[in-house]
Amino acid sequence: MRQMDDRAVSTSVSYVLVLGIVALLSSGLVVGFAPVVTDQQQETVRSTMAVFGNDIAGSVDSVDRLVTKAGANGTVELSTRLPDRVGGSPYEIELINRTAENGYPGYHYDIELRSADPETTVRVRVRSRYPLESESNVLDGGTLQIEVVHEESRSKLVIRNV
Amino acid sequence: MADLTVNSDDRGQLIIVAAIGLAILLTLMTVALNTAVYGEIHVAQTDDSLNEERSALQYHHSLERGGGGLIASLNREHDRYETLNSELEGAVVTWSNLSRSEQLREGATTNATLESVTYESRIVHRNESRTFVDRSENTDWNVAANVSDVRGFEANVTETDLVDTSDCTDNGSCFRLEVEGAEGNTWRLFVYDDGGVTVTVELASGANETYGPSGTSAKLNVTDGTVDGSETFTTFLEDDGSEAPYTLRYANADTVSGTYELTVDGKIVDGGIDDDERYGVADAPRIEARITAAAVRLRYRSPDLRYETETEIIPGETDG
Repeated sequence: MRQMDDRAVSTSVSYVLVLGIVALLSSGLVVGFAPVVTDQQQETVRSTMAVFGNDIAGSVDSVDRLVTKAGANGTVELSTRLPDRVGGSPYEIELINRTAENGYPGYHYDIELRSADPETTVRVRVRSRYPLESESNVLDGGTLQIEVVHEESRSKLVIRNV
Repeated sequence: MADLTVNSDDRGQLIIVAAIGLAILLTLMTVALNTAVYGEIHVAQTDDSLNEERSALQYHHSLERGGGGLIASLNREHDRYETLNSELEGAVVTWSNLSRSEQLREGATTNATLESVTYESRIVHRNESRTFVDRSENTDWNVAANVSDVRGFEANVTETDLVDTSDCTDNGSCFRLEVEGAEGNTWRLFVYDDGGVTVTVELASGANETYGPSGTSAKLNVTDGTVDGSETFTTFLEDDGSEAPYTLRYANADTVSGTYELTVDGKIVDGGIDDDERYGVADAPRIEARITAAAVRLRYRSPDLRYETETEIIPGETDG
């Protein structure tokens, strides 16, 4: 009868062991890989925003050259099609004037792109013959338009969301 | 006997939790991969704005190159303001239509229209036996009024009809060319016979310079200031008291004969050349018009670029 109390004990032990091992492996997998995946996502978002920043800088260069050719009576409007979100998260663009800090001729700016999730910031430098302004302090990601505005004493490039 | 049925509802919960965790990880990896792929694709597409810039600039350069050649060709074939203007206008429309169909293949619409034309006028008198009077035989007449520049003025005069005198500066009957500057100051050049063709230049200040006598004929270069290529005098262009725009006037033009040719900026008659009583096509002095520049408005529109400007086309001048 005493032997009857021990029947199926090994099955229970085996079951608990399996659960334990599965739990250990699963948690190890998740804990081990989560930072890697997060880092990869952040790096991907960063490099993609760098591409967008260079795309904007290239468009500024293009408009700058076209305005130089078109002269004071010219009209130049160039659209740059960027996605609204990067890595599934919205991002914003800010123009930072670095002209005063730079001794070289022309106007110097940093195009700063910021993503909230993952929190990433990218800066791309651009130089132009004409001053560059953004319509609002911070632009949203998405399609941008760069155009020349002729004022009485000078011409300037204005970048805005469309 | 152990009761294994109590926890049978909880079986597999841990595995489900693990599976959900893995699914989240895989989703994040997919999003990261997708973002990376999108970034690569976007990199490949960023040439678009550069291509559009190149196309617009190419269109602009083509217009300048084509227009420059076109004007040079028209200047060789025509010499009337109206003909030059209408031919150029028609040619620009034709060029614009041809370019439009070409650009449409690239997804861009273009247009070029002639806005204005700038001329220069060559006034030519080649009948040696005729005096310098205008077509209507007026002896005192304006050769060109309010011109911004005189690019060349050469005359060959003979002593046949010249007034025989030793001093002309009293504004008597001698032939004189008067150039009145912007502020009303006048530079004068007298031609008379004082033992041969003699030239006296009176500056705006009133000072006189006399050259000659040169023989039975003399070659005057009014803009270079030379008599027979050697003796030099102060031209109205060099005279401090005389500034553009200039009005060139002949007085006593029946007292000089020979030939002359001068080129001035702009269109110097109000209507057509034939409608002006001063100029003709045969013996009388005639005008040969030339286009020196044309303003053309060009428009280039593609899905992402709008480029419009007015460009000045100068024959024989392209910056590549």
